[in-house]
Amino acid sequence: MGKYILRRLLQQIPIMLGVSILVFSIIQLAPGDPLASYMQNPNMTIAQMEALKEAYGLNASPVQQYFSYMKNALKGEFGYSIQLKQPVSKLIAERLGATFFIAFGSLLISILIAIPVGVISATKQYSFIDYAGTIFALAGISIPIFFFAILMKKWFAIDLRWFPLSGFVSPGKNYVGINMIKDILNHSFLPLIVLGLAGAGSLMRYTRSSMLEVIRQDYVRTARAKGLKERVVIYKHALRNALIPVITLLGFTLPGLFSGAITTEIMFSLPGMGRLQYNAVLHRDYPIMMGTNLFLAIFTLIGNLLADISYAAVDPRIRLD
Amino acid sequence: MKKSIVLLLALAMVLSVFLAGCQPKEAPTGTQEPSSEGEPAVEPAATIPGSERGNVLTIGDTSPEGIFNPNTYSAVYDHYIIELVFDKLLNIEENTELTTEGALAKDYKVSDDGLVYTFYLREGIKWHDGEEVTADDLVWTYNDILQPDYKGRGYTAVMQSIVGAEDVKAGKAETAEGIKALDKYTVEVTVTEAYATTLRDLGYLEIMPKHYYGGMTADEQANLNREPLGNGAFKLKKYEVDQYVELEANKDYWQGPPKLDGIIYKVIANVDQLSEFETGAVDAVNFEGSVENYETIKGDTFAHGDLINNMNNGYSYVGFNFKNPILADKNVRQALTYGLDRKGFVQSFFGDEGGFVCHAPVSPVSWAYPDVDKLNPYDYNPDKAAELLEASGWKMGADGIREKDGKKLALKWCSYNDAEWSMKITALAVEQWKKIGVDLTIELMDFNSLSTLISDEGNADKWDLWNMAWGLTADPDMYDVFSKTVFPPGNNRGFFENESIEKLMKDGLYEFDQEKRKEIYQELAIEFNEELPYMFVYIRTNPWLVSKRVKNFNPTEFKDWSNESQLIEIVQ
Repeated sequence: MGKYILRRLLQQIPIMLGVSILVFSIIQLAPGDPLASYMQNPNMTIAQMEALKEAYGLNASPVQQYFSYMKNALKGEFGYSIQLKQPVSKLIAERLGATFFIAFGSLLISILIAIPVGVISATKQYSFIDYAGTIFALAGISIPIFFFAILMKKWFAIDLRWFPLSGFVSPGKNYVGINMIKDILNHSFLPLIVLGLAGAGSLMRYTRSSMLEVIRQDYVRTARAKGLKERVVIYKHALRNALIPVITLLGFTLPGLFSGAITTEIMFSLPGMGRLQYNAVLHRDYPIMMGTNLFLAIFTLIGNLLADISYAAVDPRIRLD
Repeated sequence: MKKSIVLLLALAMVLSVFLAGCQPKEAPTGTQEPSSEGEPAVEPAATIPGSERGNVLTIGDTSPEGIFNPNTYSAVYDHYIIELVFDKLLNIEENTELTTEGALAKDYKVSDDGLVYTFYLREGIKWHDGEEVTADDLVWTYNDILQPDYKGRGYTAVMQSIVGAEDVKAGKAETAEGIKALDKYTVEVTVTEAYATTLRDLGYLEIMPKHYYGGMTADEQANLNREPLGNGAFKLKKYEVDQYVELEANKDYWQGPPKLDGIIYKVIANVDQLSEFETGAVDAVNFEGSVENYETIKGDTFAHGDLINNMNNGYSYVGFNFKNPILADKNVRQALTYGLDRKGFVQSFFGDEGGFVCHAPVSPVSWAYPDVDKLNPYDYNPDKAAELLEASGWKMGADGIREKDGKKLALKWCSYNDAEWSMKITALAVEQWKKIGVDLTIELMDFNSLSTLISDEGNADKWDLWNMAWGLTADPDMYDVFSKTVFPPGNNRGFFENESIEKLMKDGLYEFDQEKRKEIYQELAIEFNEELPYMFVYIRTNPWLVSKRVKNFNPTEFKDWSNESQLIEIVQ
């Protein structure tokens, strides 16, 4: 196992290099100019534009730019944002907490809803609960997030006034300790529910279909024939096998935990990675685009690795080395 | 299994009640007042929402970029914070004239030839850390903009004209010889060009403390962007990215302590602008001037607010590409303008209160705006448009598209899809121009791509029209937008060229007599209106909704609310 992990980790190095070249090329090839937003100024002169290009090192050839970027990146310096004029690593770091909290919290809600409902739907196929679950799942998949968010805000923040309309913390209160946690929970309840319910749908369908397949397997029939209780058959023998594909799915969501949810962030004014990346693309802020993409690439690779390793944990048939 | 669903639901409800109860107890905010549930909260004599926040003003607006540095900021939201923290060398009055009132300079002098500017600083004014504001700080502030690694927008034509500026930019000198501290409180700036805008560009800026920002590279200085040190009425206490900026009063402010204890600038989403005000979470909000919004604020739940409906200092336009011979013909440009119902467009898009049809590249509230009767409104008139096209030899073809010398009257409009108005006006133009025999193709892209496309001279044959908007300053000078010296990559993206306008713009730029300047710019507005380098489309409003508990919160066309913030007061 240790050998396997080490081998896989070494494989990631050339993959990361390839990713960096690919991302850099795509960014360079896309139409647009990181200094375009400077042009939206009636007093901008050509001399000024030239001075800015020089200051940002944009006069160098793309190949030179790539090598100087990578040289600094290996030292842990990811450059300064052109738009926000702050170190890219700092811009990412200060948004990670909220991004992860929202993504992880909503994933947890999704799992807590989807897996029990999925299992029940499968065991009681074509029952009322199955249909109800399916309808909810389809609704969760098809209702646009922004619309769902507006509804929740209208009901719970404007009409009932149970929760604040937006934001992640109360401005100017500077809470610490337990009050800070309460404040954050109070602010993030609506976005968590919105994202959690929206994500539950597809996860529930996966669980259901995977479970349906498993309960028809011979070993489940054997377990039943041994006279085991139905509960043990379902939750001990069947569920464990049914969860294997679901785990793969969750492995892929790991980078998603850090990539942010742009719509939810905008709707609820959350300080997340989604907005940072979106604005970076709009402004062609090359350093942020490179930085966030490399960062997410690392998490994608780790996510895949973790999914592979956890296969072995749930399925003893898989031998990694 | 029904039981388990009921159980699940019960669990969800318990959870939500628990979380609803999670609000920190000692923090009653306006959003949680149970009294106003159900019916609209119109108790006339009742307290105004937000009163529990006391003597602190809460503003709701778009997220600042966190560049609270007067020399390098770019967003207007950042500049609000900058104006609260820093004072300017010279201030402006309502009529845009420069004044020493409330400014760091107590006096200034301009030499007769307009080449030497002397500023006399007030004595004894302190930075927030207790150091005195001196001539060295001003000298440093100018030189900072001239450094080779400077990355802001301040290196304007005026800054370039300072004696020795180019040497500093090229790295040949550390400071420009044209900027001198004559004594502890006097600074003399020598320039090579006597522009009428020089005093404004040199004076209407915030001074930065050299002892805090000096002696570092541009990137090192950027690390201080979120901990600005100024001398203004407020100090920055906390910046929480994409959430809020908290400022506290500077009790030692030289114009007397501010009336507020503090200001909170709360980041809110566009969709929440009115809801946040309605629930009392913010005391003032700058909202989008859409028809629906103006309708909404007439409701009872907005009774605690007053509308300040200023015109936005800027205009939106559709630009013509003069490299295309079809559009170089004035008749065609006028015909296209007559052929598009701009009034109807503005009416349907903004209603009566949110925007106005624009006729010239000058703000209607500026002294430079001519008598409105002298401007052609180009009211929608397809017949007149057809007449003008006929006059230029464009004959209607069998397919409904006009032709001249075997060439079709076909145009390509490049537009951006990240703004609603550009989507709507392009669709309207396709439909209405068809009626006057013009075949219009639309190509949509994002704003940045469009900006890049039209800023490259080599792309001039790839497009005929584009649309965008310009922000204006307090001075009407438009030389850097319409002069033939600023073809792409400069700002004159449509390659507009006109002898008489060129001369007037230059005269205006070098004229120091205000009365003469007024004549020049009014004449220019009339000529632009006739020549149409752009089809001017609209000027929108910049509406604020301000709670009745706030006094002296007065944004105007040329001054933001943050200017003279020491006077803002909370009365309830």
